[in-house]
Amino acid sequence: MALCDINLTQDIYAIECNPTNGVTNLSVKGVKRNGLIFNRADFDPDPSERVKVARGGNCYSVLPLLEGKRGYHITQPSNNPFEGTKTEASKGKYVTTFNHTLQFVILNHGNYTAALVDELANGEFIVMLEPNQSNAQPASETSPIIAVSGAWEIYGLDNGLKLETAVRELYNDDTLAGWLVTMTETGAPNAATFATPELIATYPVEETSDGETT
Amino acid sequence: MEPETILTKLRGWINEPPAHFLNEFEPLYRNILRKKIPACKCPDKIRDAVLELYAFINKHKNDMETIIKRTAKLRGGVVLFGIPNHAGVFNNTNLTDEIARAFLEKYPKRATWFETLPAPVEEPAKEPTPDAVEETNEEPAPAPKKRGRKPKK
Repeated sequence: MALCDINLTQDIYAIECNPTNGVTNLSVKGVKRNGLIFNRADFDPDPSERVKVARGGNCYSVLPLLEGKRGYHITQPSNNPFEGTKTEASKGKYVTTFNHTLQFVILNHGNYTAALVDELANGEFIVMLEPNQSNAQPASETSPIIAVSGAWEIYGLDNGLKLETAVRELYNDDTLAGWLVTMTETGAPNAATFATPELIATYPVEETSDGETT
Repeated sequence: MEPETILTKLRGWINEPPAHFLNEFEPLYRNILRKKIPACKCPDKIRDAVLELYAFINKHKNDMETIIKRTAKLRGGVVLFGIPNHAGVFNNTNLTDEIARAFLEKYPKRATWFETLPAPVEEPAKEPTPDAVEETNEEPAPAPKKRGRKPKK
């Protein structure tokens, strides 16, 4: 590892400011209610197949699935979608890593939902969410990292999201006797990973009538 | 089908879609845009899909023949960019065989990004040369006789 890998290369601003027109961009809370969920095993594990945006930090422009694989929708109610989702730094003995937590609700219970939770119980997943703040501007034109507008955040790319808890309470007013699911990824080396919106549009999520994914 | 014919049909379908027009529209949408009509419960989804297809055909009116005949298809999660003489970002919707060939010429190792590769350029058929004819008429050489002792049973 080169020494420069652990050096700071950017200024730190509390509020992002567009240097061209002087407009300040206060950050916006939360994510949008429609996301994508994938089986982690459906992604091509070969790192040489993946491409990051030039000067884009951890933002991917190409992140291929294996042939014939697809993603699935994950949709939440519009009041605080994915509430409880967070990222925390975890100080280790030698290095500091990040723990990502994703939380979502399934406001339903039945044989279909129970089978779904069974599938979630023992798998590894990758979830992509669209932040509400989509028009981030670079703090400086000469910054080593450029802002990618409208980038989606990826959870679980490094180690995979695994089920931490799945709780169902019969008389809970919030979940209406549905499931509250928490998934975690521990020990991720990156604080956050992103994907360009053009990339998100290429993921097949619908199944056609003849069985092919589009 | 000519692009103008499709556009005329789509114009009629925007406001007053006839009964059972989906049987004709759905395969058209899927074959040209390479995706399915969204499965949401939005009331205007069919009208939006008609408008989307109309806009796409109107924009690529001159290239419709190559778009319909294209074979190149990318894997999920792949976009192409940085292609010589072709500005922009390409996905399965706007990719043509010509663009895919130009990309593969520059980055031949990236053939792994394709589910199906583009069709090769059709070259005019050459007449067989006299040498080639002679070679094909030659009988295959007889197999050399085996020498040595027979193996003991």
